[in-house]
Amino acid sequence: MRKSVSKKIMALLLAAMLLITLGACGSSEEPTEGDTQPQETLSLGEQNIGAEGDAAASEQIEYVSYALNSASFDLKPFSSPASGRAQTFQYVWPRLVYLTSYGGSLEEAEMWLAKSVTRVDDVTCDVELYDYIYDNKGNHITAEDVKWSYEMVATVGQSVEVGNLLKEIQILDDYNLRFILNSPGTGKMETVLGFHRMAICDKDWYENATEEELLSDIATAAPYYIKEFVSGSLVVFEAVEDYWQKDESLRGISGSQNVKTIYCPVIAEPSVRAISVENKEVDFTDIQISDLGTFYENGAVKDGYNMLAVGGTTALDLFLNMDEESGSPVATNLKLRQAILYAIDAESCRIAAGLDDSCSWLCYDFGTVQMAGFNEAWKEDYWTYDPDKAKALLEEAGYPDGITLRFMYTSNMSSGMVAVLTENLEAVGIHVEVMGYDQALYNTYKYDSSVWDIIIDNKGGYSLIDNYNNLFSPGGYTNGGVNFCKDQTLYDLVDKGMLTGAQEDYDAIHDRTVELAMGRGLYASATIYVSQDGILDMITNHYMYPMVNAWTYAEDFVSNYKIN
Amino acid sequence: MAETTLEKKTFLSVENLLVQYKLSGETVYAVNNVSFTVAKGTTLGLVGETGAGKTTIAKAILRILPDHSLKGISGSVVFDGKDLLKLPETEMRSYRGKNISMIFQDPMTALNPVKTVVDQIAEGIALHQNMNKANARIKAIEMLETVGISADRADEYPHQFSGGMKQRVVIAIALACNPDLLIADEPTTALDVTIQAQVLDLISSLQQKLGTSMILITHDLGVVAGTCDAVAVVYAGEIIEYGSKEDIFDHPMHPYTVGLFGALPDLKKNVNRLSPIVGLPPDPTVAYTDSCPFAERCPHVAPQCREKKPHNAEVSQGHFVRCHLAGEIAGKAAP
Amino acid sequence: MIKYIAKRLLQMIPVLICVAILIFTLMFFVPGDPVQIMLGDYTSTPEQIAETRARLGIDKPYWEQLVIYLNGIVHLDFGESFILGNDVGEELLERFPRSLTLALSSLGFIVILGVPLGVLCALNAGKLLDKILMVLTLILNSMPTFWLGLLMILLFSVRLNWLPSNGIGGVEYYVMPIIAASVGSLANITRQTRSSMLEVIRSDYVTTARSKGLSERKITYGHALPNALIPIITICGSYFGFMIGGTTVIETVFSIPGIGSYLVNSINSRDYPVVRGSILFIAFSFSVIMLVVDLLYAFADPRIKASYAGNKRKKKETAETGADEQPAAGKEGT
Repeated sequence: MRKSVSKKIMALLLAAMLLITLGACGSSEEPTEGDTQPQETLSLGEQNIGAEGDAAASEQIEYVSYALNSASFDLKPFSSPASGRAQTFQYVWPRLVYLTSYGGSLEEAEMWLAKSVTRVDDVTCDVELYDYIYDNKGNHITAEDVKWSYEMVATVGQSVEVGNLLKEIQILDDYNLRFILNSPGTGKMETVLGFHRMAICDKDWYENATEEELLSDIATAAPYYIKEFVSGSLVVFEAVEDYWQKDESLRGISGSQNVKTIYCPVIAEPSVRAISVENKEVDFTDIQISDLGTFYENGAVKDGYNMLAVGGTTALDLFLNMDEESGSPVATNLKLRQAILYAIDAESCRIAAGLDDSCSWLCYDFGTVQMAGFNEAWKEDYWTYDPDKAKALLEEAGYPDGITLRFMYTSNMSSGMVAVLTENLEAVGIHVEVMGYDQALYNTYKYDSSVWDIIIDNKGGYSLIDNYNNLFSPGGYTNGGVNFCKDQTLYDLVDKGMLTGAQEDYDAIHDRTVELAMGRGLYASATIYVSQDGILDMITNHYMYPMVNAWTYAEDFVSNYKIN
Repeated sequence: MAETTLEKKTFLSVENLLVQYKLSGETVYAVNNVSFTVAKGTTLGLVGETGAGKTTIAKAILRILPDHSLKGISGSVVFDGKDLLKLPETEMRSYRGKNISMIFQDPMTALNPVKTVVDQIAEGIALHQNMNKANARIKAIEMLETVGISADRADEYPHQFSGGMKQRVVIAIALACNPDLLIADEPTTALDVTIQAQVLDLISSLQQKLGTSMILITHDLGVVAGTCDAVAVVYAGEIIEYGSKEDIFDHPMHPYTVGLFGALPDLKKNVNRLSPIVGLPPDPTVAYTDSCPFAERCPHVAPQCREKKPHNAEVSQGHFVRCHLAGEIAGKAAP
Repeated sequence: MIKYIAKRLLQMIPVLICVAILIFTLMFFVPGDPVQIMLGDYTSTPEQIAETRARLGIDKPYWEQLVIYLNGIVHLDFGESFILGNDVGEELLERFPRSLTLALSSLGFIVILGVPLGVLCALNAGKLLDKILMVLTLILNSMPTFWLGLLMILLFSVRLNWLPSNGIGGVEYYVMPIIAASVGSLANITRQTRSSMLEVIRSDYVTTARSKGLSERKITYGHALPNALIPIITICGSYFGFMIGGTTVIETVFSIPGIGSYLVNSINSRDYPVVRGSILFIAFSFSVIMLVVDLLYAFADPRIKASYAGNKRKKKETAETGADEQPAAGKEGT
């Protein structure tokens, strides 16, 4: 008898504990409206130096380490794009020119393999190579190798943007080429010549190389080669001893070799990456916003660390299905689309995602405020949150009793943000059928107009017009632009904007998207880089990836990494 | 303590043994004030129904009662001048298997299934006779042959033997170290009749050869007749009659003993029904402190049987009966 | 015995073929297009998509692809990863030692810690020590691996600086992953050992052993434990099998490039050859482990060994003894 009573008490206790813990967990899931983080500001692009006044090293330092965020990639010259690849690709594969800043022009670019570039007309550009380019295995790079590399990147490397932009490459002689675009447009030539996934390598070497060599024993004309490659775990780069560019003044950022060896361990879990910097195991990595507090407090970076916030290349956009033949009620009903857009409170969504002014920016267009071509005036009236107006529009649209719409997103987006979005819509009477899929499925359904009415997706480009081109140019899609819109006026405006690069043409595109109520940009968030304080200046390339080889290191820099 | 000649001859003396178990919060009075002696070189038979407490008495002597359910044990078990119940465990161990051994009831489960038979015998030998493994093994094989199992089966496992042969192995284990006292707990109950005779013969021949004393627990009166010198009848955890074999078989005094003999079928007679003892065995959770446990079933029950516990009366030399009406009932001679 | 092993190895082949066909069919019909994932967000024309599909070989009909696939398996060619293009078989072989190290050490940890604890609980059944240990193991069992892993990193790497927080290398890299991975299952082994031992301790042969005068230690470890092993071996076997492919969480938290993370990443990107190859590899490992477990049974219990040896021997024995054997059942006589 006694035993069973004590067992019952135990059971009750355990059940009570379970309920309490469930309750405690539950409360932290709700979006904290009005409970914002302290006002810290990270200005875009600026370094926040923890410890100041260190002298810079004058000689090449031994080694540095940089934690990568993804494991599944390889560094073969022509592989399909993958995240880890993008971060380290530029150390080991050269391009013709090195674009110095996001949205930078050809005229501002730094020469790399190209000795000079000359625009001939608005679709043609002549490139002269240095005639003394040798890779680390002694192969000589000529115009033939360059042309062949471009063809490989476009096909095997699946970099279809390059393939789409280029009409042809003509070889003028051993060291001279002529690039001809399909059509003129701002930034197109920059994209082609400075393409960030470009790899120029020697044709004969590639065709005769074994799989092993392509993976970890490459012949490259870049300043670093792969010393060690453990798939999924560690990549080690070492400076090429006899770099072909002997003239120091011509090396620039792309040819710098400020550090001898770069160790890149792969740490997939974001919180562990932050811990590894805090724990002095690596020198540098990117962290997620939630780990900001470890390194940044009261508006200043903590001692011992350096921080760099970059961003503005991509934004989280919301699109509405405009395929009139898909059967989606949204596609044929302008008032309905407007109702949806007025019902959304982008600021609340941003907060629910755990972001604030210190590390994110609201969007007033499909592009970000940092993109070249952004017009400040757009901030004045861009789908300002107005639920009453939304309800009225919904009635005018013919749905006074509400409507059910399908909303698609992918699982690695903030669930808090999705919850707020859903709530915004429900509040005006739009019932939402939420569809969260894994990345693979999401990517497949994105292009299927029968699956969704509303979608959110990360979109970006080199500049505002590049972004518009990516979104609305029909050439790349089988069924209209990103949201199946087939408005000829819009296409014409985009083409015109690509050609002229004039602000009023950009304004026209922006206004047309608003007129059609195609969707809206929600917000953009920053990528935060953290390093130990021995790194004085973290230069990034035009796509916001760190150029470790060109950083300024302190004179007494000692790497935290333990080589094993 | 001075040793008298009586104590020398009586080399096991159990006095006022009391064993209680706990079962689901209730107390089970398994053994209630049991006293008996075993003289050297003789066999004492412990007779009684299933559940009377015989095995408990046996295990109590060796102190191998299950720890988890044992509630209390008191009394004294004097063996070779020492009270076994008062010994520390480590010292008790030196007696087990060496001076006192036990043969168990169910040969099917008494052997360790994952060890070879020779190993199980050799284990005890190596422990008590301070031999190394090789010598112990040789002795163990000898022992196997003594019980009639050939040496080439030494490395086989218990499951490869029949019931009768398993029991032989158990006997071999028990007698391997020449114990002074052997406790055999219903050694033939689980075997069929033809094998029974073999096993009993084996035991008695070994007994004679080695001079072992024995306590033989059984419910079979026929077995008692063939092997025992003295008999103790156990009922409800008490010894209700004790005496020599002749005493018990020729002059049973206690109504229960009489009933037992009466229940044996007589080949010469032609009867329609057997004559069992009326009623059911007593409830072990009841402590019969103030009455006779057999009162409910006794054909001669008197009022005093339910009010006062009968004391042990000596009706003739060495013949004890625990009954108020002792001596007044003359029992029938056993067939 | 050799015959038995050979028979089992042959039996593995149809099992593996079935697994191969099953996983192939599953991945074939699961929605999600690997080509879209590979091409990413970049605008690609229908021709480019078609060309990529042809290059990967996924434009052919089901049966044709199945035949090519099975043909490859038989020649031990698992194809190339869609995403990376490298040989799947080689990658698996490279990752396997890490998963194996983790699995083996984890198993060793659990057995060395769990079995004695279980024995201790059984010997003290019902007493305070037993109750405390049972509650403790229950708490450990309820800890999510991910959470425990991160907590340990915070404590041992950041605060105390004793151990590295991620990666592979020497022994110190595996300490925390092993503990995080095993702690949850420690409870199972302890409980199973405890209940097996409890059953065995009440057996008659333990009483026999005691009556021989053996020490308690010898009785517990020499007589009782060997008989309690069978269920414990079973749990160890299935745990080990699970660890080979199921350590994804640990591998992610501690950045260990093993088979678990390889499989999960490839599922997310619909990298069919990798998924198929990994699953097949795990199925194969599991089959081998089951065989080893069955052989261990034979080693632990001679009755089972006899049953593997087959009918011939049994017939010989029954002729000799003229009786049939019954399996042992515990009985307590009063």
